[in-house]
Amino acid sequence: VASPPHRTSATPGPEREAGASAAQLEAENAELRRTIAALAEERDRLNDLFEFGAQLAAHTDVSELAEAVLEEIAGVAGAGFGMIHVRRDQQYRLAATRGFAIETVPETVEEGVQLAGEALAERRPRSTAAGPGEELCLPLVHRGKPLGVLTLLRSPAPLSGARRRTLERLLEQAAASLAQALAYAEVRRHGVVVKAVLDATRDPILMADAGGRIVLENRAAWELRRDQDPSANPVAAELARLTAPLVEAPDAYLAMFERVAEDELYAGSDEYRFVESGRSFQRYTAPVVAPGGEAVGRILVQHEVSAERESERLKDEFVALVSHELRTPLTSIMGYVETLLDGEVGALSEEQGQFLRVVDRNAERLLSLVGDLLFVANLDAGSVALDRCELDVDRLVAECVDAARPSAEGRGVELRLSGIERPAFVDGDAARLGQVVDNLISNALKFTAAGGSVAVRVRTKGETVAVEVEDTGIGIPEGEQARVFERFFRASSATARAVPGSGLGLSVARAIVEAHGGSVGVASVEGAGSTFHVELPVVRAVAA
Amino acid sequence: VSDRPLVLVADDDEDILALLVFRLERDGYHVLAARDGDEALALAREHRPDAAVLDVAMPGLDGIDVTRALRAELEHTKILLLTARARREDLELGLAAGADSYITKPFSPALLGWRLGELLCARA
Repeated sequence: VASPPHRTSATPGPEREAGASAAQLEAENAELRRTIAALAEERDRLNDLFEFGAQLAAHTDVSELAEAVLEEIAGVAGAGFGMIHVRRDQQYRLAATRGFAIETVPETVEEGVQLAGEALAERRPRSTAAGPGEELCLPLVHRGKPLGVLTLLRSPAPLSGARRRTLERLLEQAAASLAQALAYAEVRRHGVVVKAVLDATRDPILMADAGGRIVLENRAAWELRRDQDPSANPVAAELARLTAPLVEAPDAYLAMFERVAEDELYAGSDEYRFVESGRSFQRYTAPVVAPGGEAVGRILVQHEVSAERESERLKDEFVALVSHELRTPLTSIMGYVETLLDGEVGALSEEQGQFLRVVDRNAERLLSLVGDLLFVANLDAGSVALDRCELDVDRLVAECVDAARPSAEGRGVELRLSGIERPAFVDGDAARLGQVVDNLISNALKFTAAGGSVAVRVRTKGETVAVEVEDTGIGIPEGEQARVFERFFRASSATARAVPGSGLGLSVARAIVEAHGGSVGVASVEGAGSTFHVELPVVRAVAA
Repeated sequence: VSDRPLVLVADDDEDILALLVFRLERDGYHVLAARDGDEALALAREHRPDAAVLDVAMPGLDGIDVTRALRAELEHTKILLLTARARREDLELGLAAGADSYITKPFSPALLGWRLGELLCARA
């Protein structure tokens, strides 16, 4: 048991208080009661504030909140009439009234105009005498930004200091809540705008959260997936499993989801086609990345390409059909002409023979055009098969040059060949590559006037072998050189001189060379000549 | 009965058929002409030709169908296919069905005669 503490002489004892006068006591008691009353008032005020705060927090709707604010503050200020204007866009618009008929109060308040506008502009309460009472304008200001203004009509009795302080706190709290409600309304408005934009987009767009659950989709996405899974927020991978059996290549369709599962930052695109409806879609996926760099979701955008695929298919079908239908009459023309030229049905005069050879040459031209068209159609359909074997480029080019000699002589153009000392072999389709070299040589001859020359060179360049065909012809304007390999493009220097051609030959040549892993190019000076070159990867070079 | 070889030709295009007949008669063959696959098969069964020159793309039975049927019934008949499409699948299909050789359209009549002679010599 501890001993009692020592008393000090400074401590007032009960024996001293007993000597105090009754009047002094009464004064002290009164002071105490005032303090208790003030504390009680402060407690009530805090309670009110707390309740007001809780009440405001319940409102995320701006007009409901405005009504609650007006009721509470008009009550505290003892105002029977009031209205509140809240900022919307660049204006302050009427949000609620108390006592007034709504049609009797101004719809908007403009900053700086009239008392309410002045209170807003100055960010402080303003009041003025109004008939028997007082018009009191209280701005709602949050972080220096005016958000609204209350206009109250009250009796001119002055407010107590405590009440004035309560009013100030309430205004601060109301302004903070209003800021929050306005921000929330803005977010919701953004959401509505985003949804409207997405729904107006015809491409199906989905967003999944980090767990793969679809949390956002537009109308097109919903329409595309509802037959497979009509649930509200399906998991993307589940939806994919339900969709895969309906598409042409289910494994390829699911591959994107596997890649996404392996790499949360994967971005890529592919294409798939529904078996039954024949609808084709390109799809593109990308992660949604938070500012911290982590993936918080994933976007999947699909784009229907059915119409494009169908028109490509029809075009290919048409070209293939035309090619076939043209070959049958050509077979007759060329077969009968050959029979006539061979003298099978009687000897021909020199002129008859000459004319028949013109028919034959033009039939050949038509045939090669048909071949080019068919090749281009197959190229677009991705069904060009190369019949590859190891080829000696030097020999291939020499054969092409020999085949072109009669034509060069006929035109009075000198045709030269310089080969390489060491043979270089490429892995290629002899017929196709021969077609390329034939095309370059016949082009060079076609565009070179009598007296000019065409030089064909083969040379090795590191891992590649280059075939160059240089002519002293009309050349190609500089701005058009990059385009001569485009399908159906014809240089203006060719069309201006009415040199015949389809604009297919060089595009076919480029396609063939690129299918072999090589490249084509041209250098030309208009009026002086052109040099076309083809480079092909060498598979084997023979040592000298 | 002559000892000249008997050749069946079939093509649905009349002009080409006439050209084939002209060329092969010039080359000294007896020629039977058919305008489609069914006629070709009927003529072949009746006359058992030494060789058949068949267009691949014909309405009804096509050249490959006729090749398959002939190969099953007439072992000795040499079969030469004419195809407008130099597509590998068609050629492989034709050769798998039992054709001995092929020529792509447009063809040189002289080359066709030469190729046919070669096939018939190989038989002899």
